[in-house]
Amino acid sequence: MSDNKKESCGSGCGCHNGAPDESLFNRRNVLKAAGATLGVAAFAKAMAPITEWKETTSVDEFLQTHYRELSNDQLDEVIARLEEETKKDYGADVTITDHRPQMGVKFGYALNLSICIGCRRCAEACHHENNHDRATSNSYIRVLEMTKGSMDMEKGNVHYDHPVPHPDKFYMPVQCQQCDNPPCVDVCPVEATWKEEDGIVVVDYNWCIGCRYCEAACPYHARRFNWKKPVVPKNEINPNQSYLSNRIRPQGVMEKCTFCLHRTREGRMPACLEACPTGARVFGNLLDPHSEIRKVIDTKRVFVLKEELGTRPSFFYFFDE
Amino acid sequence: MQEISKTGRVVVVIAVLIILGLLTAVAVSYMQGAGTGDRSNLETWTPGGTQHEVTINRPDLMPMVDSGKKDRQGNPVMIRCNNCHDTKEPNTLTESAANLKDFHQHMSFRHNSLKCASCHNPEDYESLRLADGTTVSFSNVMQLCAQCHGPQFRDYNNGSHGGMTGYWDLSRGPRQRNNCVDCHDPHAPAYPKVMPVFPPKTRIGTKGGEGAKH
Repeated sequence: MSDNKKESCGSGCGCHNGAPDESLFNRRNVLKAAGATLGVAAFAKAMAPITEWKETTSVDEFLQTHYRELSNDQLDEVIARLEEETKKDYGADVTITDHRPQMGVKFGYALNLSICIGCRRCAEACHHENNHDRATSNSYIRVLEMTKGSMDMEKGNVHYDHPVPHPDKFYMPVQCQQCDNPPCVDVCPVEATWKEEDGIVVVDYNWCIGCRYCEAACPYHARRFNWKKPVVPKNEINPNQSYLSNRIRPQGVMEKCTFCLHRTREGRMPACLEACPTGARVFGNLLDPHSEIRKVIDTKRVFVLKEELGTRPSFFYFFDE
Repeated sequence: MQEISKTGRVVVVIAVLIILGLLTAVAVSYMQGAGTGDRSNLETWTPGGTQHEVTINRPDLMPMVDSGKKDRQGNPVMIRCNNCHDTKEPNTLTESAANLKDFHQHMSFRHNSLKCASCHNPEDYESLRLADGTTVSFSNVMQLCAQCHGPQFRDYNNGSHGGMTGYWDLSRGPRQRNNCVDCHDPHAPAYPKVMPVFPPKTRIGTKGGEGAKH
């Protein structure tokens, strides 16, 4: 027996039966220790969200599941919690509704570049309607001042500050194009953003991990990131809110234009359209052949931005003759 | 015999794994179904039915002219057009305020080469007159504008000019629309230049700020 102990195990690994008794630092123990260390490290990493727990994150929020997997009762609880948190953080009484899309409705938007004067009232209306951060003057709409003859939106200037319209320029407001083939949705690693039945691309702010892949993927620069917790004075908060649109977003998540779904899913016009002083904006149901938006598409030479990318926007631009 | 039982065991293990996988897939899809099932029965939008009204703003029945005098409360005394025009012979060739001896001298006209009587009714200055001689009231001024501005009137009727507030879905609520003269001064109809509102803020720490590119 004692002879066998000294022999190799036969698999050519060079080990000796009974060797563990002789040395603490033989290969098997070192490998075991290394494995255990790696395991502990991996476990610690997996538990990181709990160790990095912030007091601003409630247990319920942490455990909340994806919007589309919430039952009606769970959603009611989530909404009650969000309303309570808004009251606590901002002192405002708000109503958060879960506006659902309607079948037979697909929203479309069109913008008449011949009569847009670049006054930026749409961007301002968006800012107030959607409870944007006051400190950064955030808005889902950027109005680009374009040189006549150029159609390259990347060359547009947003920082113009002179009486408008300038005779050599035209003005092109750009917001989420609600693409039928949205690259922002494709790149989301956690499916926190998706396209709804009525064509609106939405974000579950409580599921978003803030990786900003969608911001990089969007060719229209339409997505915004909440670097900080939004600052909105209590008396300026729009209390008519929706879970998927203008409720106050948490820090560290992406947000985007939702065609004001809290208004449009109630049959109303988006805030940017109502604010437009010239009537350059046309909104409606693409599936209704008698709608204004269909009349524009049927009778005007409409185009979409960056058509060559195959994003298939639901947002159309046109010029009068 | 030994070989067969070994193969049999492998087959059984694989079969068990496949069954487990299938069960998991079914369970997951069932759970997902249970989540969305609650809210998947969406309402369907149906055209037609009762439609709410589209109201078009109407200007006041007729304009008044400031007499330049104040009443006892300090309010300007406004007088009706026909106070003067009833007794005055109309001059249908007038096209500039410079030709007028009293009233309207402050007005400037930048509406092509139109004359006053192109739109105002020289037989009754409290109404307007179409090119074919038909009298229309001031509240129906859009009919007058449409004579020359057909494309704009067409676009207005198609909802792509002039703006609106209210509901895109008229089965759920009404809509309010502007009148031509809400936005365009009929005597100088070009839309005035304005200063843009709401300048975008530059992002702290960057020279160019948050522009179209970033």
